[in-house]
This record gives sequence, structure tokens and C-alpha cells, in this order.
Amino acid sequence: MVRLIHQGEEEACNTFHNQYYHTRRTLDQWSWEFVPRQFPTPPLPIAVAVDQDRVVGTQALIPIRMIDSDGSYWAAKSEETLIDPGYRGKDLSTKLYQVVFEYAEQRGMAYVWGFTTATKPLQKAGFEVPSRVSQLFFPFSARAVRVLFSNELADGPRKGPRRAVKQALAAAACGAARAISEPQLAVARIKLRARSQAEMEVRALTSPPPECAEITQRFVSQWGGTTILRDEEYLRWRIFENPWVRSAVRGIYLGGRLQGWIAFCLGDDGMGYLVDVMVAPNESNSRTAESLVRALLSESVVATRRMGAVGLRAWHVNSHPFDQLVARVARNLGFFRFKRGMSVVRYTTSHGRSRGGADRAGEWYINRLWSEGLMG
Amino acid sequence: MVHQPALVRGTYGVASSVRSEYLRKQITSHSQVFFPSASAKLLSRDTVVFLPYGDAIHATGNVIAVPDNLEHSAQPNTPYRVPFNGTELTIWNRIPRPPSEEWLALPNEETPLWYRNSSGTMIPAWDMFGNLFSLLTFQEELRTSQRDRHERFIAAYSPRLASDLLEVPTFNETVAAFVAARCSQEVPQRTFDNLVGLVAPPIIVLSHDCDVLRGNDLWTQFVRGYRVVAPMLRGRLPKLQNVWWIAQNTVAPRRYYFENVEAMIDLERQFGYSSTFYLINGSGGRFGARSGAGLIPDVVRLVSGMWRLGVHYNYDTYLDHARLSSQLQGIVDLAPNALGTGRAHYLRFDPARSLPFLAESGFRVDESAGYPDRIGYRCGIGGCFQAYDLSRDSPLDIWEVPLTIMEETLMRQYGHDSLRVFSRLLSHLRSVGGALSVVYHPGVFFNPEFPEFLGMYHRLLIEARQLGARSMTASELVDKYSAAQRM
Repeated sequence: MVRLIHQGEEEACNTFHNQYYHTRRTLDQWSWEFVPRQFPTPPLPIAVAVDQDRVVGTQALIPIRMIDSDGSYWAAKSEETLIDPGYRGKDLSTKLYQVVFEYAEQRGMAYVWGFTTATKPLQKAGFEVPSRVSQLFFPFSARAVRVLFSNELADGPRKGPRRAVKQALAAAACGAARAISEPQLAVARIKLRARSQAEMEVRALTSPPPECAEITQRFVSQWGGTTILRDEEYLRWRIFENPWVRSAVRGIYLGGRLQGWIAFCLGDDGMGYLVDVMVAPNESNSRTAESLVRALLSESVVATRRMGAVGLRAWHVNSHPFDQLVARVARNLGFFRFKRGMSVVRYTTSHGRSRGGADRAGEWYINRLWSEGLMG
Repeated sequence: MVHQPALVRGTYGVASSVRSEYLRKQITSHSQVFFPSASAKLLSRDTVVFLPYGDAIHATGNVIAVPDNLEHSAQPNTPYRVPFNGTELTIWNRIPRPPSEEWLALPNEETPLWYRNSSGTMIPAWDMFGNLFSLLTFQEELRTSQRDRHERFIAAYSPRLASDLLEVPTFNETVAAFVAARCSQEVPQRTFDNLVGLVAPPIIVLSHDCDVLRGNDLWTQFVRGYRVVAPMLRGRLPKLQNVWWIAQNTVAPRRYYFENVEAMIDLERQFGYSSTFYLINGSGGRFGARSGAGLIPDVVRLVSGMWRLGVHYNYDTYLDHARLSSQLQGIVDLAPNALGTGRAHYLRFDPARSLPFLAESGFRVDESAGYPDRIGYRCGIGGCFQAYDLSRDSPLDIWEVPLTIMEETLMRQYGHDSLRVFSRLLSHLRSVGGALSVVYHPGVFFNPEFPEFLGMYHRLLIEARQLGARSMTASELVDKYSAAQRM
């Protein structure tokens, strides 16, 4: 039977996850992820497939407040898509999606999005594939290759001489890339330093800045498109009180006023990850914005390297003007771009269609924060 | 059985009851930090009684009777292990089962943890009072005059080393055994070796000694230069990479030293952890404040919120009031928040005199009681305790948070197994309750000159998170213990 979760089944869902992935996620951590702070519940937006009182499949939505030029609205990230291996081939996944899509429709959510390497089953369930994530990468050490090869970015055989040769070549390339990146970064930092002393100041943020929602609003009015509404509640939940990995956050100030921030962290694999970049200067000026982004990206490179990262990875997704700006500045600082990553999938409800829907696919400003994962 | 008060300068009677009361307080406060209050309250004055052995064996009812007048042997006698709550407790200085037939050994005669009589009274099967009081008052160190060239008692001199007992938190194990025993007396479904659902997650007490904040000081550069030349004197190839480190830190003195301070804070914040940064100023020189005090204001600017500052007592302030107060005067201007908490540079610590000396100098928390040559529980406790002045037979107004792990000794002792050992110690504390004090120097946190340490701190924190460890600074831990003691 496929239906929405009943009260009291939370533990069973978490246990199912832990058995599936051989993890020890606690119920508190499950609640942090799946019990919404602002979105009215119950019921929770979680579909379960149950066979004789046993959970054999789950599909959850994480409600997220979004914002575009027309104001804020609800959408959701697809999460916890799990089917017991013994129940595969029964199209449970589509049935679970139907339940959460119906929930999204009834509760006024405009979109459901997710990231995946397997798009076909999701397209069958009703998702479209508007874009694909590519990677921006700053190498700090040849050891980064080992990390890259051990995760989703690597394809081909997992062992064997071919892979070893590939890895050795990649390590050499990484060393060469570093020789190119380092001078670029050094020059950029020298230029920045002169300006920083005069105007800009980068500070560590230890709690959500009160003006964060206002900055997000300004962001969409300056850059257009739609993005996650980063209000205090959201940033506290996702970043500052994240029970898994709390990103370091740096704010950038001009004349004592906050203009934006960058969030980054060191993953358990030793790789640095850029989680969020948000810049909306008080006066819209693309050159100012570019300087601010440069200062923040440069700070994140230096800080993650000092934390011991083997490299720094960031997402570049689509043609949103700010995404383009970040990618351009990143490349100037010494980042490399390679086209390997997950696809963005999106389901649009009737509420989303009335907001422009599919026509505005390229206008989403997406970064790693959208993954709603353990790192923010 | 012997009724001989052999503990240093103690005589049975008034002194013994003061000591028993002191030990009871340490046990009570520790239990309240690591066990639910309902369970901790089971260790009340009425239910855990300290008394002479002759009286203990005649006690009746649901109490734990602790003999407090046994002849204590600092040399551990026939250690053995007892399964307990998914781990093992290590017992030494066993006492024989009371002569009467009504006493049963638990879990068995060969490796007993308790002796229990038909009325439910339990007696620890080892010299619990002697072992714990002796360790908390550094008595194994007072019995010998052996000291290294820095006048330190090092792990190599400990009588526990030969029996491999330095990594046994016997105080924590004892309290865990007491809580389980009392629960078994009060709740029939519970057994004396089970604490399921009762132990709070372990605490990790992180700290950083800011010995070197600039990599261009004379001594650091000289040592590198020596490393280049020394192999040549033995007919070997010079270690030329040191020239690179000399050059780098000449151009950028803060690189890999001061710059690591902010990176460590960023990393700890990621885990929801915090730490104490110990600042050193005063005399320079090889063993002194190599980087001077110039960068202290910059460290102070970075250390805020949940992070704390402390004083790293300079090498030459060891038991010297004039020199220590001179150092503290320097600190007052630069980092007034650092006062009150400290750790000795080079871990110079005198077992009898250091804590009274520091208490007189205004310190409330000290983290110096660790070994420089091995990891381990120097006082047999993973947590903290109020210091005790044997000369006056009274507690002091200073708390010791003994240092268990220094990154360099961990690496030197265990090499590639370091992470596994760290995990083992923390896992054990997860089963019995306790805190693990770890010092990690900024100069090795991210420094390619010491490649064996690259990423190590991160891996330690990942391990701590996976084991559910909470983080507290030493002063926060002491606040928690002292609040528990006042309850």
C-alpha cells in the first residue's frame, strides 16, 4: 500500500533508511531533515510504501520557501527516494511520487525538484530535466584526484590498470592545473587587498544575519529568476544549526553594510565544497557585484585550503546571470570547469505553471544549497 | 585484611573521612554529568558508604559499602578485565571475598567486580578507594623522585605502564560500575553490568597550545637549518626541503601557524564543536614564547563566541610566583579573558605543588596533567576533578582537566593506528561515560612540513561526531561539574 506517512511511523522510516545505507542516523537527525519548521503540518509530506506493516519504500518532500520577482512561494526538494531491493520492478517509485505530487498540488507547492544521475525513471514519473550540474574545481593537491575518483564524478571501471593509469594522468593534470591556478589566485588577491583595505571587509558570520531575507529579495530584483528564500529561519536550520556539517559563512560588507555571503565547508572526504554564494549590492552595479563575488570566492579558496581541503568544488548549473557571473569570476581566480555532474529534475504543479513554469527553467539560481543535503 | 592507612601522610580517622567525603563528591559530580539525574541520585550519602573494611563486611541492605582503610599498593596488583555494558572494565588491586559464606562474587570468583551478600549489600572487589584517591592526588608520582630533564614525571615512570593501564579511565569505570550496581539494587530488571540507555554521550574537550604562531622565529628556522646540515655531517644527503620551509616562512611568517587558528575554528564550527586556545607570552628562547606576544591580539580577535582563551604558562614560570605574575600582567592587557584557565608549556607540572601554586595565582581550571611522552589518563579519569591538597588534607579551589591526548604523542606512539586508538578510547567512554581532553597544536594542523598530520584533526573530529561526542571547553566542563557538586 502506498500512502502518506502516519504519525508514529517516523522511526520505521528512519530505520529503513539506516538499513538501506548502513548508517546510524538518529531520529533527531531525521526530524531535522523532514519535519518542516514553517510549512504547516501534519501530515508530513512523506509517502511510504508499506507491506504487512513493514516500510518497503519512502519518498519525502522537503518544503522550501522560494522567491521570485512576484514574491515568495512554496516548493519542495525531493528526498529519501528509497525502494527495498526486493520490491523493485513493481513501479513503486512512480506510485510514491504520485502521492507526494498530489500532496504538493493540494498544499500549494509550485515545484518539486531534485538531482539525479538516473533521469529516465524520474521522467516517467512526470519530471522534466531542465539542466545539468557542471563542476567548478580549484585544485589544492594531487590527492584531490583520489577523492574525485572515489565519488560520483568518476565513471568506468572501479579498479584495474586502466583506472590506475587514468588516475595517474589525472594527478599529473591536477598538479599542472595547480601551477596555473595558484598564480591566478595570487594576482587576484593582491588586487583585492588594495581594495579591501579601502572599502570591502570580509567577516565570519556565526549566526544568520537579520538582513538575509532582504538581501535575497534584492537578489531576485537585481538578477531576476527564482531562488531559495534565505531568511533567518532557513539559514539557521540549514547552515548555522545543521547537526551534520555546519558550513563556515563569511559575510561581505561595503561601508559597514552586508552585501552578501558565501558558505563553504570541508567534506568528510577531505574535499572543500562551496555551498552557497549570494551577493546583492545596495546599488545595482555589475562591477561592484563582480568585485564582491571575487572577494568571497577568493576567501573561500584560501579558507578551505587552510582547513586542509585537497581541492574546492562548486556547482555551475545554468544561464542564470548570477550563476554565469560566479562561473566567470571563478575561472578568473583559477577554477577549472568540467562537465560532469548530476541532472536537475523538476516537476511543475498547476501552481508552478501559473508562475511561468517551464518557460523560466533557466532562471533558477541553483547551487549546492539546493541539494538540501548534509552540508547545507 | 589489612587496616593500614598507607596513603601518603594520612591517618585513619578525621583525615580519612575528609578524604572519603572528597572522593564521594568527585564521584557524585561526575555521575551527574554523565548519567540521568535519577540514576546519579542513587549514589547518595546513604547508599554509597565509605567505612573501614571491618565495618563494610557487616553492612546490610541495598547499599554499596566501600572500604576506605585498605593498605594501598601503588604498584598495580594482578590487573584483570570484567565485561561490562558492551566494553570491559579493568580492575587491579583486588581484595579477597569477605570470609563469610553469604558473600557472592559477581560475575564470578575468577574475575570479580563485586561481592554481594544476601541482603543486597555490595562491596567493590578491588581497592576502589585507594586506587582512585591515589590517582586523583598524584600519589604514584609522589613516591618517586624520578623526573626528566624538564623536571616532569613522565609516563615512562608510572607503575601503571608495565601493566598497560595508562589508557584505562579507572575513575570513569568505577562510577559506571557504581551507577549500574545501584540501579540493579533498586530496579530488579537491571543487572550490575548493564547501563543501556543511561550513559550520556561522551564529551570531547579540545584545546590548542599556541606555542608558535610565526614560523620565522630564530629557533624554528635554526632547527630547520640543522635538519639540512645534520645528515651531511653523517655522510648523507641533506634534507633540502627544509630550505623551502625556511624560505616560505621568511616571506610569509604566519603561513601554516597563525593562519591555522582561524581554519581550526572554521573546522570545529562545522561539527558544532569549540575549543580553548592557550596563549603564551613572556620570555622567549628555545623553550619560551618563540613568537613573542605580538600576534596575541590577532588571535583574540578570532576567538569569540563558544571558543575560549587560556594562559599557556611559560616554561620559566614553573612554580615561580614572580615570573608567573609577570606573564599574567602581560596577558591582562592583551587577553583579559584568558585568565583563570591554563596549561603549562611543556606540561611542566609538579604533582604536589603545581595545583596549590596555580590556585594561589588565581587559576580555577588547569589542563596540565597529561604525559608528554605517551597518551593516557594520568589521573585515571577522563573528565575533571577538584584538586586536593594532601599537605592540608583539604580540597583546593582549582579543578584539573587532565590532558589525555596530544597529537604528537598519539602519532609517535601509534602512527597509522592513531585514529583507531582515538576511536577506541572514545568508544570506551561512550560505554562508561566521560570526557576526552585533546590538544592539537595550530602549527601541525595544516602544515606540509609535517605531512603525517595533514587531515588528521579533521579525521579525529569526524570520528568524534560518528561516536556522538559532544564538545565542551575545559572551563565549561568544570562549570558543569562544580554546579553538579553544589546540587
